[in-house]
Amino acid sequence: MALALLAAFALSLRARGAQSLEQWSVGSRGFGSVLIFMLLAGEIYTTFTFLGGSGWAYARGAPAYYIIGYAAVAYTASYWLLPAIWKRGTEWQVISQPEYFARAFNSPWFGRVVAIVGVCALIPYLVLQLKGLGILVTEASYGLIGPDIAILIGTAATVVYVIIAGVRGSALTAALKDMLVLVTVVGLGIALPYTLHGGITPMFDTLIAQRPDLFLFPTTGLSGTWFTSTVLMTVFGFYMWPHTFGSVFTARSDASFRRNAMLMPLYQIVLLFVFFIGFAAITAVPGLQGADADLALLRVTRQTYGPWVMGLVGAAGVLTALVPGSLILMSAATILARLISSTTVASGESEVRLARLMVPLVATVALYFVFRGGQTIVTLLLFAYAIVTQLFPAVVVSLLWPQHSHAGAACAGIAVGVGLVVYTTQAGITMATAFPTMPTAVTDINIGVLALIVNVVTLGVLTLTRSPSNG
Amino acid sequence: MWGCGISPRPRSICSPPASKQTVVRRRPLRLLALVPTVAILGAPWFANRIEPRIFGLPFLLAWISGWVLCTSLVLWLIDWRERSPSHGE
Repeated sequence: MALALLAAFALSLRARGAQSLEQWSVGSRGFGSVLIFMLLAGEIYTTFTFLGGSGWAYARGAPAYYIIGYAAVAYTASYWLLPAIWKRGTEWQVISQPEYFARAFNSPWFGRVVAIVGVCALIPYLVLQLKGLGILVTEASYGLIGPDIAILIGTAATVVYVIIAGVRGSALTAALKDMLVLVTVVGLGIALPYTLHGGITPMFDTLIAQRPDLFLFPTTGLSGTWFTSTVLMTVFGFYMWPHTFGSVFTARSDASFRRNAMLMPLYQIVLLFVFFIGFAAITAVPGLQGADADLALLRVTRQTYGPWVMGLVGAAGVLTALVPGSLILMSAATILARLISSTTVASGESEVRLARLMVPLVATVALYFVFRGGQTIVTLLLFAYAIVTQLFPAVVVSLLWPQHSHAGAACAGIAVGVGLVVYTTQAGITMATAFPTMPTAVTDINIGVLALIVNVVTLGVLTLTRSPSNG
Repeated sequence: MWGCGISPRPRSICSPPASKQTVVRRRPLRLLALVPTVAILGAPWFANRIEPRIFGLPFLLAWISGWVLCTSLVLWLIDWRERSPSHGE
């Protein structure tokens, strides 16, 4: 089992080592459909889906469905959104998200603001990958390696090979990871219900008899309103991630996005099997509370099939944490390096050196938040999404009303939105505590959506009041 | 919801000025993309129940999964239609 983990490690390290630094310089717009597909699809199978998806199905049931719902809506949107962004980006010769914003709003400092927001959103995303890594190694080693040690070693390893192997993840490593995850998830998703319940239908029969509430949206809390608002927020944020947005510019033609939009929902439907795993765990390993729900997949596998299968699952799982983890780390470091070198005078070469320096720094900040702990993987991701989504209104303005793009207005909108998300999360305020007298249909709205509304209003009002004087 | 905001616009950005005829012919198909979107976003209102079970799945789960698959189908249909030679692109 430990061997499988090591092999996975070595393999991804080797695949990475083969990458040269220039290979991934986005400047060459030469990626065809397949590579773009791998890059964008790599986003789907992460620790979040692997552990978080099954954990949520286990602990909460129906609300977990938002994970397959949002992606389908996001891909529909991408069919029109990505070619539009790509077209602009190619015209302007920009290669990263901050550059796109700087150019669209004709304001270098706005580009810097976007860079900072991007990094702020990437950190919780990285935190959740590291957290997942810790869980995986601890569980797969039967508790031999503690979570703290596992996270430290995992982070150190990620940092080292991001620095050595250079810029961003290779589509090939992502492909390997996806294959392994696909096999593991579909295999377990079918095998577990059969082993434990004698089939998928009997499993649902048993669970519906015991816990009918699990398969419906609750009337309060994670209710229908929560589902719809969360899907919407996630859709708006889906392509706003700095690394996803940036990878749009690597495409050779806009046709690749259209083709991807058609294929991705099929890729996403595999998550149905992740839910089956989570549901199968309900009767097999009951009683996992709070953040422990993320352990559901691993515990049920361990208990049902023993070390051999556990090794395979552990290996697949470690890759789901490491591959996206290194991608996020690299992209945050690159943004920071560009940010610093844009304010000082720096050549291209020192920029790369700076990026490498930033890697351990970003990792350390993420580690701090990992050890502060407490939240489940899904909660962390929703927080990150609430932040990154705030960039969406500015993108819409840049695409639909470029003549009205005003950096100050867009910046104020983003600041208000992000401020609201961070403040409410830190202070533990939810819609329900802020507006206790409102009906639950209102109070269950995702706080990110509220922030988005405030953002849009700020942006709209400022744009309208300023645009006459601005011509 | 946001399909209706975005769908008519990028045409002006992405493609050369379309003749009036193509605009008329494209629009109804593009609206089709709204169907799975609305079906998924509205799932809590349309499909928040367990029965009838479909392939053993509780109705809500089957509804959402089914529409995810339909998304692929709808996008493929739109793409196929817009690529067809009659649009001269």
